[in-house]
Amino acid sequence: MKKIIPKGFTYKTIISILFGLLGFALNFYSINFYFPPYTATVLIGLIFPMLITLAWGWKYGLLSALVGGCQTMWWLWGPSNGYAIFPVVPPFTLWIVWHGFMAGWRKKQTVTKWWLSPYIVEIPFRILNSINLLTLCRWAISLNPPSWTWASNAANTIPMDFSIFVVIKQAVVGYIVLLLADVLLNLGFTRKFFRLEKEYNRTNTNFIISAAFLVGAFCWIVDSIIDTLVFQPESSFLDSLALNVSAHDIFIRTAFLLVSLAGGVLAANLLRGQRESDNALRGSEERLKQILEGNPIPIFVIGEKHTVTHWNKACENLTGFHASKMIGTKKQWLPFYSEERPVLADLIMDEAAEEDIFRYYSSKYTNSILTEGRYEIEDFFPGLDGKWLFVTAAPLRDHLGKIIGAIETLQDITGRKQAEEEIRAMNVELEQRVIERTAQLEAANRELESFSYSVSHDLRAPLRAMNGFSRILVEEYGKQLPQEAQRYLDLVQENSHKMGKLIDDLLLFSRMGKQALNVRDVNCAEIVEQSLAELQTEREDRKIEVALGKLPVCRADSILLKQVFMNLLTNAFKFTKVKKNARVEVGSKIIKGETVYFVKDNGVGFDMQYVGKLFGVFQRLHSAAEFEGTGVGLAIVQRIIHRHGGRVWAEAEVDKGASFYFTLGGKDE
Amino acid sequence: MNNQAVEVLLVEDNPGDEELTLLALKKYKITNKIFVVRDGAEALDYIFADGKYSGRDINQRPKVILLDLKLPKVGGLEVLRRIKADPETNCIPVVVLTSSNEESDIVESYKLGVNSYIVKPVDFKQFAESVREIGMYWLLLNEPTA
Repeated sequence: MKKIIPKGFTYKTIISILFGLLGFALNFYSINFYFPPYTATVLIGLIFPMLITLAWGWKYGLLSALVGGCQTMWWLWGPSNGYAIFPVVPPFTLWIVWHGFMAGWRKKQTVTKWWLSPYIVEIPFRILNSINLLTLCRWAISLNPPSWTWASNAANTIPMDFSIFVVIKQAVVGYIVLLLADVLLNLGFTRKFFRLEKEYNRTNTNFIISAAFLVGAFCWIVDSIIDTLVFQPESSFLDSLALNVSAHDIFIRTAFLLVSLAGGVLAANLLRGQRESDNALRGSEERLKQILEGNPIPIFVIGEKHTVTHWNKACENLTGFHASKMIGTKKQWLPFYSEERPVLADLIMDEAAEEDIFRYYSSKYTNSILTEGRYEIEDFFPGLDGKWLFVTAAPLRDHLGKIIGAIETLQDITGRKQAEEEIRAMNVELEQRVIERTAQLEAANRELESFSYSVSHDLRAPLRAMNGFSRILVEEYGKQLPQEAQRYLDLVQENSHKMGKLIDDLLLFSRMGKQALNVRDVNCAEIVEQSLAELQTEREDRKIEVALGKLPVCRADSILLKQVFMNLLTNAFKFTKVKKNARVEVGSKIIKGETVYFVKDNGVGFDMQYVGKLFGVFQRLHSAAEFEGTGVGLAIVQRIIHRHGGRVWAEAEVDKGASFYFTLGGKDE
Repeated sequence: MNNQAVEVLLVEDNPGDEELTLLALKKYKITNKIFVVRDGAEALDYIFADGKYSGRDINQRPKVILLDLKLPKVGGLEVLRRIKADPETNCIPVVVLTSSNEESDIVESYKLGVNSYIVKPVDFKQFAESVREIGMYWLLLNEPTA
């Protein structure tokens, strides 16, 4: 509730009512004047509600008007005008409200608008009311006499001249009231009384308006003296001054007084305007200074002739040089360099050519960018404890575009630079490590290669010797040997054979690991058919049913994929040899969106508890006597499939056959 | 050395392989004059009549060189390169007879201009067959350049 009631509500209400009653009293009193002063003063009581409305707005103005400020009109106009009072009296209250409303609007403006001045907004009101007086009022008078008896003698016709006289009188009185209210509201004590803002210089305004009033009063007195001395020597000075003055003289003197006051108000307003703009300028300068001071980035500004004008707190902290030591001097170079030279702001201010800027900032650390009149550099400052600074400078121009100074900002980027340096060093180290590791790996790889080369070459030679000489022994001396000895020699040959095969398979296995993949679209069915053709000899004397299912085109290394099918088919043929109706099925199916290839047989199968060993090198689930083989074939299959990013697995049951499945992944190389 | 012209130069460091090769040649009655050197350096000396073979008549070139790749001192590929790089010797047929079936060895040998590349089988029967074919082709059928 408290907030709804405006500040100073009680005070304003009491004063409004009081002023309304004062206005009523003054108007009422002025009726008793003799005609000439009456003419001039008849409406002077309106000054009171007008002051209220201009100072506090239309609501208080309306209160003041209704309490009394405008109510005397009923009496003033009542007796002689009959019905005319209805169109004539209420507009006085409206007038007060109108000016109060416009004063409120005026107050909301940030920039003074001349057309909102009371003297201007008076015009539309005055025009409308003049029309009212010339039409509606005359019509209302024509309806007289009214029904109330005490006005029965009201005229029912008035001359047009009189109407025009009223219009002019009201206009003049209106402006006089406005001017007087304006004068009063320009005075310091009045403003204090109305509790208005005090921002403009009260003493000066008081002085100017008092001087204007004195000029008006001086004219009045001079005219009185001249009257007494020249025109009416018979009357006394006091008569000439105020007591017995002709209407014409009163009018002239009043006009003088008002013109003087109008001039005073004008001068006061101009002075106030000047003061306000001065204050605004000072305020904006102060704000600018505060913005610079409060900025956490070190900033300094140089003005004309390269003199330092601003040197903010952050700049003091960065450089250790206090603003009081710098401002007004040309020593902006001092914190940064060991000798006198232009800083970036100086160069920018002089519109130095880019090569000049480069010349001054040519240390190997600098890197600089020019962006639309603004220069940015990164530089190393040994003088500032070895700080790295990011420096920008831009010219300051006046409204004509002439360079009148420059602003330079400095940012300490030492931390960033150190981090960059660390990252760079770490990268170098990392690079070095990668090189070392690569070298180690390459060496290991070379060793491995030479190892497998040795295996390929050196292991075979003794085998060949064993095989060769045992054979020669059989061929040359076979007849002299007992049968048992011959069988032993056969075993030597057979085993050397096996070992040869083992070496070949191992080498193949190791080659599978290092050979680069050559992945492309491969016709899978074709590869299976090729494999089957190459394995023809293995199943020549056997009856094997081979069923080929759907084999889509896939992405794989065709040579390696063929190796996979060769090994799986070899196995399938091998492990079905004990079966009468051997059957091998090759095909594919889609499982969970993935193509799964399979090779199934109905051979001897194996026990699933050993499935984990199946794909290991040299792992065999059958004795060599049952089924020949080195135990490398499935290891090779697994290696190839893994290199394609696929999976391989098997399902089997003893004597029911085995199924091998694999996928090829999506690997592209 | 003696006056009889050497027809086969066998470069082989493994005594087992050497004997088996000689036995295989003998088995198939290839009785041409065979000279055996046991490392790459000796092979080069022999071919270019250098070092301990400096007295040899360089113009008596062997009809064929059987070259192992893995040799002491100077490797077989280097020997091959030197033979094929020299205009005096590059027309001598060179047959690489080796245990290595490394792709890189095969490719490199052919790049250097080898005339045949034979992988020595472990099985003597096959080995003897290979040696016989070499002997037949290079010694009996092939017409050497003048």
